[in-house]
Amino acid sequence: MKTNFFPKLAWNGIIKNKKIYIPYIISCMGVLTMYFIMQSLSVSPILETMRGGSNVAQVLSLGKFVIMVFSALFLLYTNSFLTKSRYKEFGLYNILGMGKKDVNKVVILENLFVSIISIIGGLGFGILFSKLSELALLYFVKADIDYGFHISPITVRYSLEIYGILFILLAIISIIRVSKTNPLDLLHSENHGEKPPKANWFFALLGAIILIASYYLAVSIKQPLTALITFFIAVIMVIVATYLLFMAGSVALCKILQKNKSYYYNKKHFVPVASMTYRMKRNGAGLASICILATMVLVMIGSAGSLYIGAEDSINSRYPYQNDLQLTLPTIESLNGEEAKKIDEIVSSTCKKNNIKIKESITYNLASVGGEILSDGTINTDADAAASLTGTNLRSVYFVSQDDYNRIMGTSLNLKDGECALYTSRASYDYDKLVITHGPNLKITERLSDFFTIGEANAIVIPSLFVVIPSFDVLHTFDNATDYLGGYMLMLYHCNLFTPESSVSADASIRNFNETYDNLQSYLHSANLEAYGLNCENSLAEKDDFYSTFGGLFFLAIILSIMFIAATTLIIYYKQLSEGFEDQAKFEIMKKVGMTKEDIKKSIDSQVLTVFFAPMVMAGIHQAFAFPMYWKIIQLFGLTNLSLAIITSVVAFIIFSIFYLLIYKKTAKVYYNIVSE
Amino acid sequence: MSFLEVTNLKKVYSTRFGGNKVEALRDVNFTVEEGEFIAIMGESGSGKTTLLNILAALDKPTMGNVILDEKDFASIKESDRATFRRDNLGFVFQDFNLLDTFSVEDNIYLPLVLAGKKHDEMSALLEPLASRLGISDLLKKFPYEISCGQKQRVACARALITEPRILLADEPTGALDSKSTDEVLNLFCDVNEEGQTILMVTHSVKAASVANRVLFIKDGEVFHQIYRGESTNEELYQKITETLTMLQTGSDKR
Repeated sequence: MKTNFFPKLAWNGIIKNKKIYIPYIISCMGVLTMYFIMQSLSVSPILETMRGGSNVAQVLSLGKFVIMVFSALFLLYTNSFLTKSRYKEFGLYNILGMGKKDVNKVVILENLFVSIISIIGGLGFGILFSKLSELALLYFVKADIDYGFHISPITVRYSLEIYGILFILLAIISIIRVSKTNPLDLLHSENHGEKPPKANWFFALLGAIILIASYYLAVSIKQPLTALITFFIAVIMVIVATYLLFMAGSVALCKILQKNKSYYYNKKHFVPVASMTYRMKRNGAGLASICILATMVLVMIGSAGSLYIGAEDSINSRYPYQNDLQLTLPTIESLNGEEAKKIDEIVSSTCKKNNIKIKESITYNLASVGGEILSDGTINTDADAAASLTGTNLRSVYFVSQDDYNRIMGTSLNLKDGECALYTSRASYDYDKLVITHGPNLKITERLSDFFTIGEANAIVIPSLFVVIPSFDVLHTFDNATDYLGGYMLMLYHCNLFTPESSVSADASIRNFNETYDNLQSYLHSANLEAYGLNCENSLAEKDDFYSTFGGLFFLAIILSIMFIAATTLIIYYKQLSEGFEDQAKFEIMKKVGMTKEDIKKSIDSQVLTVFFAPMVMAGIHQAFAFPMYWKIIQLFGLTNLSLAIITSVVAFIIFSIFYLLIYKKTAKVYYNIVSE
Repeated sequence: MSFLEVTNLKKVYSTRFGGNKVEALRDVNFTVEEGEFIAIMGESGSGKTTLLNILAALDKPTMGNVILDEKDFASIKESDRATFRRDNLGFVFQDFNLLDTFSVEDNIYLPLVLAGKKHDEMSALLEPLASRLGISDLLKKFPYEISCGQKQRVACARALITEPRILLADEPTGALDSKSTDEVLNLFCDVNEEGQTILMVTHSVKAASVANRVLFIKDGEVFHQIYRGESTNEELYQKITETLTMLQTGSDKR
């Protein structure tokens, strides 16, 4: 045999099956490109110079890993479809006198060609798009644009190594698949009738029960802290339920429909319902996968998008003022002592020196204590913190004096000893008295409808009680109380917050902030007060951190979504293709029996529509029920704008639906063309 | 006017780019009376299948007319053809063409469902038919569970349930063993005796020998025909064999 016979045969095999091979090669290239982009971004020099670059790098490495695992699974799936559709051809080669070894040679060569094309294409597109995606990333994390162009050799090496190994693995799997099958069986396999699938009522019911349970779990979450753990449990339950429902539940539903004679024996339903029974059995897993992928995209875009778009909001609620200085003090007396006054002085003098005009500022004293709420409303401050963390009954209590409150809010509260005014966030407190272990007994005489923003309370997600007391003197009851670490239980702060005029540039503000911080430190040092904790934050500096994290997450969500959508497209395309060929004969028969073209079209429409939109609808429902849960988790990051989160999620669903609709239209045409040939 | 009239039928196939033209039917003329059982014989490539496709309104002739009960096929709109087929014609195929996804019962119901019939009407039609064809026990089974002979009987039931004007059969015994062949042929004779018009394309002499009349097609024309007259099946069988021998050895008896 001539030496170039096998390469020619292999190449022809690819060309003749281009309907199947082109999407496969595109998907190989696609995952490689995606990986290349992620890899090149994660080692990009821009991350080193960027503020918060390490956050982005972390997010990107996560993305890299997800893409790696996903591409392996995805290529395995498409490769199995590819090999299956070629069985007959390979069987024919075998019958025509080619040995198994020769057939393997052809398989290996085909894989080799595909791999070479995919690697060259993937690297090419990767290099092409890496700069573009770098610019996109910089846009999302709001960093300065860098016009350099870098290709790191390590990125190329990693991509080659990982995908080289993956392609070799795929080639080995194809060989095993092909050599395991008997060509004669394959040639005859097509006309065997298939048993009608039996409805597995147990699994169908189980799926429904698990789904309802997981939905209930998702909706019933009250506390963001428990949400994280429950979230994972619920996600796993939803995945299991989705698979059960699509694989068993759908068949059961078809059986029920078939039992309903007047529904089933109707021109519109007869053919679709009967063929769907079979189709669902075979495609249930695929459809469930599509549904899960779609849900992932929706939840990812919904949550990351809300976080990103709401970042400004979160920063504003976390940092009501641009500069936030907080000195921890040891005793109640010291709150109004020298140190606190000195702090305020240093702040204003530094501002004056730097010519920073103050737009608004507040100073106040704050006392806080945390504990576990008991069923009678008592807040038990002796609770073990570790145990309380997992519970939903954790509470933070913030005390503010009525002088400070009246001054800041412009009110005229007039509380007497033993009285207090209460404002709550995230959880209500419906008792007449506020009872705190070690704390004073206070009668709640007033419920406040507004309270000035305390950034710390917004940053943590524990439900908070804001208590206005006549004076801090009532808190002396805590004098001997210690927390679980043995320190003084009551945390006392002097807070000084201010925002400069908007004419002040960000750089000037940050410079002033740093100088203030240095001055405060040196004062504490000189006064021998280093033990006092000083906590200073500037929202402009923090903003970069926010955006590098949320922007990075949103960017990753978009990249992964694009990949998931592309994968969904390919799964659907292959399904339509294989089913089209299977159904060709069926529709030929029906045409002979008297089905009009219009009937066929209607029947296909109703069938395809149901099959492909079931996952979409299900994903939408999943997203709706996941919303309360991811909303709670979004709150962990400090986003409090509910309507923004809802709108983002709905928009994500609409955009995804449009994509899906386009994919469906394109692929349904492919199917119809095959069937009506 | 006859029940079915085929006059000057001509069908020319051209290859995709219009290069070569192949004449499948040259000039076919014959008539069918109501209640007749006609077998059309011919070798592969003689134009039998083309003729049947035209009679089934699946294909259009290049020239000539097919008139069923005074209705010219050419006058039927493309969009109405499927409906016309469903209402007037019944089909039995060599490879049964039963749908695997349906039970036997549902396979038989298929044309009725397409015609928009209610379930009660359908089951009222099915019951007597099923017992007549001896498939009452099979109704709940699926095509893969029954034998080839049974499949063909089911296919007949599907063709007959619409009470068609003509039953068109394309090599109905082609895929059957001799026992099943006898069963199916007996069935054809029975329904024919009840008045069903049957037109069967076959190249099995045995199948043809149960018909009332046998048409022979060669090179796209009706070459010869034999009436049963008073002959028994065996005598007709003999006559058909002789004719076929003549046809094949190229004798030009017309």
